[in-house]
Amino acid sequence: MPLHHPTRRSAQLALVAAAGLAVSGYAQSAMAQDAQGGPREPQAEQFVQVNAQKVISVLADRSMSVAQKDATFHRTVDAVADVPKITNFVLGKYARTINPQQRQQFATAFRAYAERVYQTRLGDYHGETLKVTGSVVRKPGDVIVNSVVTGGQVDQPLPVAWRVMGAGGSWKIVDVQVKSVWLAITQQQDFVSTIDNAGGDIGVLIARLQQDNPGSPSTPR
Amino acid sequence: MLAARSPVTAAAGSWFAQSRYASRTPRYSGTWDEHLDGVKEMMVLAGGVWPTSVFLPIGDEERLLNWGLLGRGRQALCCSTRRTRHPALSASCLALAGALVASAAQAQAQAPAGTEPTPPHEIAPATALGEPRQDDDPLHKMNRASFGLGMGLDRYVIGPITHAYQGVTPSPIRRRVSAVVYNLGEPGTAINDVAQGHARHAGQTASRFIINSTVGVLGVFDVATGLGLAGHQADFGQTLGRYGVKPGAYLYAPVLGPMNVRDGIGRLVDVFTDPVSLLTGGIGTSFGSARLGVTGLDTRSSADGAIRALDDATDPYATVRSAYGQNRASMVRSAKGQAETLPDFDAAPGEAEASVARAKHRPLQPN
Repeated sequence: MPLHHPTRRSAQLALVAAAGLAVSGYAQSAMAQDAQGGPREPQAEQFVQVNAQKVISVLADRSMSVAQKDATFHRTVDAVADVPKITNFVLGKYARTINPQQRQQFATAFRAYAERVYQTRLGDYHGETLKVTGSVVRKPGDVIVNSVVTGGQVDQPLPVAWRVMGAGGSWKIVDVQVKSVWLAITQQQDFVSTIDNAGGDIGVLIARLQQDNPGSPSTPR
Repeated sequence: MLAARSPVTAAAGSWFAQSRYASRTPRYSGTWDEHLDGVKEMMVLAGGVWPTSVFLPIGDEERLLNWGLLGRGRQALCCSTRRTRHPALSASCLALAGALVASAAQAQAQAPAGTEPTPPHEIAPATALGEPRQDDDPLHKMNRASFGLGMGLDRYVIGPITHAYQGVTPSPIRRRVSAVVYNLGEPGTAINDVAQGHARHAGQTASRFIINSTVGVLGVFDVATGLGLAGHQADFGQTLGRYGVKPGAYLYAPVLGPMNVRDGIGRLVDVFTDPVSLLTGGIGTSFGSARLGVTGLDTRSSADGAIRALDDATDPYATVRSAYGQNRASMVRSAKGQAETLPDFDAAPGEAEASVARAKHRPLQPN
């Protein structure tokens, strides 16, 4: 049957139209998939929306001096992050063998190290906005808040997940996931590996963190 | 990175088989059994292979990413070899491009391009730590040496080239280049979406490719994202994981970067099944070579921040390994539709790791 036969041609056009509709239908369905089912925690979402954007804005504020920015960032971290819990977590298995003196030294060194690192990393972003898209309750008091960062230096919408713990109106951030990588988990594996390679000597890690603290010249790349 | 193929891979295979990490060594028995399971699955799929990466300019035949796949006397896969008119120049360009791609692959461990749907997070209680752990890295001594070599290559060759590119190319132009590179990868993503049984994702990817290639002027402009069609990545390593193939041992190759046995084979399959390459003639053609070089340069440039972030790590090797493992695990979970298992911040120190160790019937190791 020749291709120009009316019936076959109509069928071909119908198939093309159906394919186009199917493709757009798939696209619509895929878009709808962004909304994950399951219980949400609105208070945790509100906490992240307000405070995460605050952190980004502080670091992007070019009107502040370096000292002002450091002080503001320090206060903001205290307010939004559960620093003791994170400090304990990143030690991994060594959290149960570290002595109190080392724990204090580590806490001080890690705090200064983390602020410097995250200030530097987040300082690369300017003008971005964060929008919370939902949340998943992992267990009571342990929530993953999903968000998207857009604008500024970000070409494609950047998914960022925030793990927050707490209850009622009191929430604190314990970890952040960017492009599928949890920062505290990565930090833990980094630190545990460093201590492992030092034969279990936590002092080596502490010395390394103190070496890279603000005021010390960083190792040139 | 020149090596004769047969002696190296034969020696590697022999070493591997006789390694002290064999299952009869109790310290590694639990983990090594899992690793061997993964390797056996790979061998079944790929016909018994031990992957290596060599760059072999042989006469007037150039092979850039020649995975010298040998095992049981069979070559399960081979690379394409094409004669070119200017072998010396092409060899240099391909070598540079290959190094860029490999360095980019390493960078991808920390900064994968594109936007992926937010993965679901688990509801069940979690006790496991993030993966991979030291016990998933039985070849860590060799890997660390490779990592050092790779970082040196990046510091003295790849990095300077990339920074020169960034210096002469304005940011808006670099973003357009990234969009074109990403668009050329969409057909491969769509194929893997189909292989994973994700028809909706495949349709979305196909729509993106069509829209961006036409309205978006060959991918220069990402019109599809503005229409609500978010991009995502899919590769054959993910496809294998989707169907239950375990990752196997962590590997770090100086030129290719971080991978595991499963994903390394997946990368190879992706290279040889890439629709754009098949249509345009592969890396032996001018377009193919240019695409390879631009892709590597673009990926390395995009990941520059992540690479610089390694300066802050106390153990950059462990950091890359962790980031790579988390990223790949997330991709496989996404393909399976599984929730993520997270460590319990409220657990007593060491309790999480202890529970995982008990489950695997092995003693805790201070390493």
